[in-house]
Amino acid sequence: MNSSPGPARTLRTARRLRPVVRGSCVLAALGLMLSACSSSGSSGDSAASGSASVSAAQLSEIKADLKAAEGVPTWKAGGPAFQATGLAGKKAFLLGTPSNQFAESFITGVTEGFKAVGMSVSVNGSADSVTSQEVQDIDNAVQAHVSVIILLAIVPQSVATGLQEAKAAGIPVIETFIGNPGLPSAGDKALGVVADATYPYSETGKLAAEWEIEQTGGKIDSVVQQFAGQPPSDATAAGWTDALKQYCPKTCSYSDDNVTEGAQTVQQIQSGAQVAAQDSSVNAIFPVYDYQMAYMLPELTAATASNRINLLSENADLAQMQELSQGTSVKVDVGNPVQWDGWAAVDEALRALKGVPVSANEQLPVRLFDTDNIKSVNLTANPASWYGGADYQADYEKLWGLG
Amino acid sequence: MTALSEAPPARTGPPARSRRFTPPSWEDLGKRFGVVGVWIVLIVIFGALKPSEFLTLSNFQTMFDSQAVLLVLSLAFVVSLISGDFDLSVAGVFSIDLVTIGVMNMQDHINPLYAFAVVIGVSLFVGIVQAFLIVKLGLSSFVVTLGTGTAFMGVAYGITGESLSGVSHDYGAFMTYPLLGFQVSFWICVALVAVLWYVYGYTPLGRRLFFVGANRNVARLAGINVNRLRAGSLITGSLMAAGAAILTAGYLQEADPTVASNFLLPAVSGALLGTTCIWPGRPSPGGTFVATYFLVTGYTGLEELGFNGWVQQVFYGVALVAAVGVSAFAARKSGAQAAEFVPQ
Repeated sequence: MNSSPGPARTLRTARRLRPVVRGSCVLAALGLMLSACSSSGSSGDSAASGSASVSAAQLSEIKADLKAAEGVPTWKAGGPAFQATGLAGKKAFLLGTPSNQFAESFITGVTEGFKAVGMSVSVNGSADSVTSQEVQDIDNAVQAHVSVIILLAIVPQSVATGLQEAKAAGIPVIETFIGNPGLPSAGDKALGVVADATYPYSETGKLAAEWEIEQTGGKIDSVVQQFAGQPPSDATAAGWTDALKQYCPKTCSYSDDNVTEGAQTVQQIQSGAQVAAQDSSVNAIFPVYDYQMAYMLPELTAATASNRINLLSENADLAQMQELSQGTSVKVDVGNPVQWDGWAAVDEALRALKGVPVSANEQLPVRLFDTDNIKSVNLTANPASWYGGADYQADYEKLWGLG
Repeated sequence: MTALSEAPPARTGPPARSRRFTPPSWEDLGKRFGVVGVWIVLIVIFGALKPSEFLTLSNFQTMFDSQAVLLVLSLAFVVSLISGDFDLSVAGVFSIDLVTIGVMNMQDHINPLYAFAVVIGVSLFVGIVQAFLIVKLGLSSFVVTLGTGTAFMGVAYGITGESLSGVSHDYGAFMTYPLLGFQVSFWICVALVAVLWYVYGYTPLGRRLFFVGANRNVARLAGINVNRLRAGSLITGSLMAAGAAILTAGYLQEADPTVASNFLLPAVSGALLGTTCIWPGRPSPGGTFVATYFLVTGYTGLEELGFNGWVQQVFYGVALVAAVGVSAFAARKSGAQAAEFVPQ
């Protein structure tokens, strides 16, 4: 039971409160340091000044791009035709798990493609991307004498020890969804990766930016929320920023909001959107993956910024396509037919197995979904149907000498 | 898990009220409200550095609204923690419930009330099963709930591997309706905190729960039905996870099977950081509330200063360690033993 504190007690109390006071001083000092450093915290800002807007010729170019991208994609061969016969009975291995719609669609495409040439495919991986398990799965595949390995959105360096075993056994490896199309890097080649099957990530960012430029007349103050350091994210973000620099360097700007993968990803997404919504000059947010928009929408609503800020992204996940169709802040979602990507990965695999040159670009299409064409898309149907009726399966079979 | 070591004598809950009002000492205030003080300091610092962005009503509205779901999940973790168990399955139960609402209401357009009834039933069942495994069979709550939580997240993926959107309009509108400046979902959380605060702070049931959490054997010897209280806490935690799912579906208007994995660590962090204030040394609803919003204030302030990504993660981790450290240091300096809360 406490009595009125005397001088001695007051002195003891003051001493005991010193840690709290010290802690507060440390925080205050930290705050001063942060203020001194805060001007360097954000990278990639470009100035938004001047009044020059996009030229008529540039607008015309943008409109043509958008019109082509909104339409139903057509199939294009990634390389010359070849004979994919004599492969029946061989086995392939896909490192990945059907843990989401994207992976399921890709696995379906790969399975269909290999089946067309009489090959079987086994699928295994770690839903939580546990590297040791992934390496173990590759080892098991090598032991099972598979003929080719496909990595589903896995950076080869992360499973290097497994790939070294595969290379020693002469098993070619195909990487997928690692940045923009191209041949594997020298580092990946050293691990036995012979080809890359992916869609043009930067094209998705470019199309989204072009849409926004057309809508605003080239007056954009945007935030790009990305996972810096991840090749797909870097490529997608670069598509957006390069388009702004190309078409409206004086009247368009962007700032980078970097998010890290981990336990706080959702909170970082939310806080990034919240801060962007508080800035009355921001009129567009470009998250590199469309699932991020789910966590941004409530922040925009709470900040009454839903009408001011457009959300644009890529991936064309069902939930975000539904948001687009409902007239929310989601205005653009650039998609890619993932099942088709699976066939493209098989094309690379078959080229490697038959000893023909692999393709540097499988010419995989993207389609821009926006407020104009979303009504024509049946969201209740299989996502593969959103990309139209191109019979890519028959086209690939013809390319492989089967049709 | 061992029983409390170096536990302070006597007190198993909030300070007993004496018949004669005695003003609290500065030492007591410091221990109980230290984190609150640091929270205020953070607001002052960020407000001074970015007044036009940080010190706006809109900013605070968004901060408080956005963490409502996380707060409920933290409280779901706290109710078991108070009675001495770890319930790491709250995120997994939340995940199953969320996708169930997604499939029933967003995909199949069934009345959301039916969806709520189903998820409450699912959570009740899960809570009962876990209570049986942990209380009746005596298995470790940490291990059991870690396993079941992981399994439930897998089941959620099995129910739907894709995110769904399109919640019933009235449902979504209700949850996001601005009431006195904050969304209804936030006020639901405030009400929940108030109810739990009252139960744990001012009812015999609450006192018994703290007693059970402090020392099961002594509680049993004192005639308290330890098993029933532990089972009740585990079931309540599961039901609160259902509540979190109902709030989330209305707030995000989307059901994503992956979202739960992002909430587990922050929910546990908020609950454990909450043990350093309001009722120092033990988990509490009020402490969890303060801790959750203290952390989001730091996050948001750093974001507005242009620091994002890894800097925010570092802040999160350091704030957790620092708060616990300062609290323990202050308690030790006062001569009391640091009552470190260790579930059994």
